[in-house]
Amino acid sequence: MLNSDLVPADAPPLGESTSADGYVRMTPVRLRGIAFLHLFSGLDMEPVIEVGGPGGATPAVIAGFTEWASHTMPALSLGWDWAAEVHGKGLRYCRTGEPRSNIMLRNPLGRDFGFEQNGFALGLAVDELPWQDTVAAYVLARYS
Amino acid sequence: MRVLSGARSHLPDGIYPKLASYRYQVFIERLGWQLPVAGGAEVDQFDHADSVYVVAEEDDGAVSGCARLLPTNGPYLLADVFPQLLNGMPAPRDPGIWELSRFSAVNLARNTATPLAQFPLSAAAALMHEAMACASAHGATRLVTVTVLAMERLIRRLGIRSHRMGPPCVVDGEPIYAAWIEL
Repeated sequence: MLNSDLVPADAPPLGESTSADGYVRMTPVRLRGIAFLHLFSGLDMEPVIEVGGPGGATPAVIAGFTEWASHTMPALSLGWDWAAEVHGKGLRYCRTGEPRSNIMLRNPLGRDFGFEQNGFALGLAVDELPWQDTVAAYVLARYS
Repeated sequence: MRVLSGARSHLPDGIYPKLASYRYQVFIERLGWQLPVAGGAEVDQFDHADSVYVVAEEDDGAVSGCARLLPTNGPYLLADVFPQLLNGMPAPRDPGIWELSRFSAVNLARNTATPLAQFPLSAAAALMHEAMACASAHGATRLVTVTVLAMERLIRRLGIRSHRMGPPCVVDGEPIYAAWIEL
């Protein structure tokens, strides 16, 4: 199911290095050019939350977290929480909350987005990733 | 509840053995971590004269929370046991950077069934802020930590600025990660 070699030690260089404060800095355009691979996902043992939907809140069926990373050195890390709500005959997976990461986005002039804007912008980048089917299949295989 | 802090020699008499026993009950018995033990005490090589402890003590004398602080210019967990979590970075060696470890806000007198319930928010907040203040008082400007992913979500919920060093790794079947915490 899980192993400790989540990102290969001989992964190719990213091109950007880690800053002294621990962030890897790049522009959103650069970030969108980097492939992220699924590491693992899990279900929350917390009570299910409610997510918003047209006409009001919809009970979420399940909720959990997922972890993704670039296979580069240094590795970029993105982890976020999600909830799945009933949608038609299936489930619709939605990100909940901002991603947790080692990435600090900056503008083309080299200025950091800052903590809050960085979290928001990373969330937008996550929303462009096709993560839902991968997480759904993983969770089904792991917990069924 | 009161929160005490200091090196072992500065803690009130009797607290340290209760702390070691509490850590055993939390990290060995409840969480199943594979750590060194001595009888009913959880103590490792990083528990030494320079280690600083933050301990939550209930009115009846029971320990209900703990944290350990280590300066990174000496031996510490991330550098010496989990360097793979550094994501290729050299381990910090700076008297202004301290490591937070063995954080728990589990009140063993209460039943908590879920992972995040290990960390009741008000008790965890009090303990975390005391640990941060204690680290600052010892000259820290930043913290590093190695912990479970559930802790990362707690830190986020507490509104503390923190970011990871890299992707999590799985140790003994448990995803763990390393992070910076801003003071």
